[in-house]
Amino acid sequence: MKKRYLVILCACVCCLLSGCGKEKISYENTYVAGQDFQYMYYGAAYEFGLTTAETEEGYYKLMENYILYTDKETMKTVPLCGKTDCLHEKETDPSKKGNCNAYVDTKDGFLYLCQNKLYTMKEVVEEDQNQKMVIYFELYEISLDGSKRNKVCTLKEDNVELWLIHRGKMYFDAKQQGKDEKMHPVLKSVDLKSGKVEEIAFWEDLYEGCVEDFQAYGNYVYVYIFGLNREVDRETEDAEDPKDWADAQVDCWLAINIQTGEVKELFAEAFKKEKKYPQSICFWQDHLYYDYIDANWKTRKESVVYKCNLDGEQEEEWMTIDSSYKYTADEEYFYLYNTWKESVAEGKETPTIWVYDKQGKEIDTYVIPEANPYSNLTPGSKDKFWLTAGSEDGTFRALAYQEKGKMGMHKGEALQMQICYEMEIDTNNTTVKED
Amino acid sequence: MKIVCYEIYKLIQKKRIMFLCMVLVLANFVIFQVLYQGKARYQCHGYYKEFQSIMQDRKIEKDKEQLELFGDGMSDFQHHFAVSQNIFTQDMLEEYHQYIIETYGTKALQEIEKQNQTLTHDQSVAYLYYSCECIKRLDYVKEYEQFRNGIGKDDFLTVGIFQKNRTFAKNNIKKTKEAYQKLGTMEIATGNHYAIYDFLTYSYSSVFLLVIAFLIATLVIRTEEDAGLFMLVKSQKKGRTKLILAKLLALFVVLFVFDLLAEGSILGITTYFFYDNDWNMSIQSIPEFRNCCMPLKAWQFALLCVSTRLLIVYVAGVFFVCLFLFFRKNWMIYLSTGIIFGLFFLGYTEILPNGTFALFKYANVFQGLSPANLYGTYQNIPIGSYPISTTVVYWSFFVIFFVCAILVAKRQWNHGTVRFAGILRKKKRKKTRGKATVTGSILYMYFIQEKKIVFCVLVLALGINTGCLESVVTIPVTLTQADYQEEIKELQGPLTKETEKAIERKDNFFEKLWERVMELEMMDNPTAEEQAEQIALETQTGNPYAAHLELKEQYEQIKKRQEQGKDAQLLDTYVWNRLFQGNADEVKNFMLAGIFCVIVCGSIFENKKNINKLIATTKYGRRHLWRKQYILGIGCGILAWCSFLLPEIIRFFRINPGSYWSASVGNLDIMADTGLEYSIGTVVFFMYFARLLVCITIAVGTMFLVYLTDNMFMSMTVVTAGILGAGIVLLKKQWGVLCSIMTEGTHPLWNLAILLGICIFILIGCIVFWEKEVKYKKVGGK
Repeated sequence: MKKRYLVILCACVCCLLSGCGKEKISYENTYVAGQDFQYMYYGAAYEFGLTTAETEEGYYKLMENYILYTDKETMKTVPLCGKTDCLHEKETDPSKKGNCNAYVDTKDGFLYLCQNKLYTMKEVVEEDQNQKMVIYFELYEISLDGSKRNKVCTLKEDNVELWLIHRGKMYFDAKQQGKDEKMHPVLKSVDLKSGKVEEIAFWEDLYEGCVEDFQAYGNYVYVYIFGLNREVDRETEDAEDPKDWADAQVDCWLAINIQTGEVKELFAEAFKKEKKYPQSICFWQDHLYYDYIDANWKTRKESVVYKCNLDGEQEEEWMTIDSSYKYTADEEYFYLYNTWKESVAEGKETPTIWVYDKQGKEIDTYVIPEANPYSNLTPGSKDKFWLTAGSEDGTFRALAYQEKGKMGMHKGEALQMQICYEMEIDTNNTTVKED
Repeated sequence: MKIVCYEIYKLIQKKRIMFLCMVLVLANFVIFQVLYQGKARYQCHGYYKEFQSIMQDRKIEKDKEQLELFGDGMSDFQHHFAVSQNIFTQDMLEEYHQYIIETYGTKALQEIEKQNQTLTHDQSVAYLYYSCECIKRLDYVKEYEQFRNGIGKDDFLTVGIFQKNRTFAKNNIKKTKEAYQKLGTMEIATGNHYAIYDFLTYSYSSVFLLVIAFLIATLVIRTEEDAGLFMLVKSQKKGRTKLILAKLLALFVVLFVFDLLAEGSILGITTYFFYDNDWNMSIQSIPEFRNCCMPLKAWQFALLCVSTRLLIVYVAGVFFVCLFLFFRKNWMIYLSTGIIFGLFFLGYTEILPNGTFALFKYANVFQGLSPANLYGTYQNIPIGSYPISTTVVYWSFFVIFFVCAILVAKRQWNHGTVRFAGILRKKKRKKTRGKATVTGSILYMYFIQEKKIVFCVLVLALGINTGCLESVVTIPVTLTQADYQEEIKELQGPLTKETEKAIERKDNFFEKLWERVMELEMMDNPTAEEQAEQIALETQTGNPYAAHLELKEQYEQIKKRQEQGKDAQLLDTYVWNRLFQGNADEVKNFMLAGIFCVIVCGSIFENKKNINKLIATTKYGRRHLWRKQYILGIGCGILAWCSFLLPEIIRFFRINPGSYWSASVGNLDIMADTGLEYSIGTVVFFMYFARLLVCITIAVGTMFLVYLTDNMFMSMTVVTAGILGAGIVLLKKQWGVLCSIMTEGTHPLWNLAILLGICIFILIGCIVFWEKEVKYKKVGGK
């Protein structure tokens, strides 16, 4: 009898202790480090997700299927594999690549951080007898030192397109069959602990719809979706002229409250009245920053940057900028840059960044060395810009950073680019040179 | 010692089992041949000796440059051959000659051309392959040196995240460095290692040895049990601990012999093909074992692997002995074996090597069954913050498993008179029954008493769930599938002028789109609307256009059929091809159906306690009884078909494919080359009818084998092994069972005819045998 009680007591203690030490999700309507979508790393060209994650001790970058870790103290970059007998990227034997802790066979090269775990998604393609493909997706969590890896969930019924991790859940968009037996966009979430899949929004009235932008901040997930609000006749003799589709087009930003599940269309009035909408949004100081594009956006010379609350309310003008300029922000500063200006792209003007403080006052400028034409700037961490460089033929990639330094000290100087990792890319193998 | 010898003698006396074990050893050998004959080095082995002698004559085995020249010379022959086959153009050949001249000089080209005059195509292929392999080996020697020199000197040794005290990462680095230091100054040989590698990595021997262990384990216990001599034997002076230990030792000896035969045959065949392997080379000379930290030579490593496999197979055998001691019913033994080994297999395959539960991946029976993988790569797993070698984990598990198995077997043999089933069964007062019919008695005995009704109901419920309730929605497998299906929805059916017009309209539509696309691309400053239109057009001229082209190609083929006077109907190939694709699921369902039949029907003709002789003297004990029994078996076969195979067609109906069952199968691209013109409905009907016959054949065949051999357990095992073996071969070769087109031009009708012929022969043979048997057992002139 005594032994039975002892066993029960031990079991209870174990259960209680199992709840200790696990961080709880904070639902403050602001950016919370360590659990939120790291928006300051978003926005690089052709990347519709994050490939970089930052912790208190270092940076994680997913490049060519290998996770690279940069220590903040030494700024040394190494593959996230603690095995001294591993060749990492130099490994040529495909069967041994999986032994490297840094190697991740990802669907899209995206990497997210949440509660001291890194997350990547693998696309599994299986061939059946007649070489037909069956595709499904697996979400993996990896420990911060790369030594542990577990499968969180398998998604067989959804064809995952864009995805992100924010506050303990994975959000993804896919296509789902509606009552009309046609495919429509759908937004779902997966709880990282339980693996439970929930449908958040299903746009059954949107035809040929697609999610083009996907971010998160505070208690909101932001989705930019476009499509047609009616089915367009393309097949019969009375097929519509593509010019007529302009009326049917839908471009909108939606903000989904992750606590209440409410889906709200942002900038609805502006679209209704003037057919204008923001092509991108930027987060800064718990507000949204954006400028509108409309039919005349290419010809106008100036744009107005607006700001509003995270739910789209209380819009106000914030700044007027050159219409060809782009902008982004990290937690402290707002960055305006001109790499998209034609004269800069043609090399006639210097690629420059202007830095603004919370009051909207310009406090510094610097020149971006070796900027690619029409490239996007991601602000990255508080003290560094992170970027990747590559050769035109795709055989060479490098991970580099630029020190932001003390704001106000640059006054038009060029940033120094430091290459911390070089990677030679072979079509068959990936080999690496360390810098 | 005498007891051990006597136990061994008893095992050997069971000739049928010994014969079966020999058949399994032979099957292992055959499977090796089947699986490896497709590999390049085995296809080219006919020229291996010649290649070796050329290497020795020219002394270029260790000269990379000369090997590359030799290889390029073979490539030159390939180029000439390709030109003669109109695969390459003369320009491409000239380009290659130019490359050789630039790399090696004109003289080298002349020598190559001269040497190639006496070559054949197969020779050139073989020489090219082997020379590339030689070059790879030379490169590996250099790479290994760099690899060894680099251990412990990585940059991450100075990175904070890997240098935290009392963490697995830091401890692992230190331990790995020490492990490699034990290798000392290891020399890598460049010799051929094909035989060594193939012998070490061939893992199917493990499967066959496990089955052999299972069979021999049955003999160890069942011999006395079936004869009802358990209690008598145990009452003897040496009938308890000494006897069970002697039995277990006998099990080891017999297993050892079969292991030697199985492994020896593989070693023999690999050495026969590649005789010049240097077994004295260090195991690290083989690139796949680069990360091995054992300072062993190849022969020592091979010996270690063979011993590991033998020991784990032996422990599995002891485990089976324990199961036989715990459970009397065969299905319980099968179930327990399936569950436990299934869990082990799941842990082995599904758990990631650096997952949280990696311990269960390495403390696993299947690690010992693939010893080359276990020892071939040095790896540590974290137990807390301590790195523990996977080899240590495995051997700790092995020792615990072994000791527990021996102790449990000993205890159960000595003291165990109560079986698990007995503990759980409550004693019920039996109701008195009225006159029992033969049918009722059979159903009661085989379904109610043996609890098979539960199993059958579960399986049927599973079949209903799979067929009627499970979702039939599938993700499109290609990007164009959705668009293709959208377009063909309206056009499915016989080819008419309307179909032609619709295709033409679609062609015109896309032509207009492309014109507009070109127009927009020529514009310098398109407006926002025009840009939006351009984006929309890009979407339209992407997948939808590709889908239309796919449909049009299909339409052209169907039109040709119409011109030839054949039935011409446009059908959704993504839907209708499913019926004839043949895939791994089909094979697995067949295996499950077959095993179900074996489990359920195995005991129907079992001669329990030799009762059949007595029953045969009764009025209904022959014709009526046996007829009812085999009809019951046929019913089980039908149940297996309904539960495992019929759901496939039900699921197909549920996707509403449309009523095109009368269309000819020749309309489907998957069946176009067969020349068959029967309707889809007819072919599908015969396919499913054939499947039904196969299930019934398995059921009846099992019953017949049990009846003939008077050994239910052995018969069930033989049939199960046959089903599994056939299934494995079908899966490996990616052949379906009945609905796929067999590779290499075999006609599906022939396959069907042969299969049906065999099934009908077995069925009729068995039934006639039972019916005839009745006549010989007539009593009193009746």
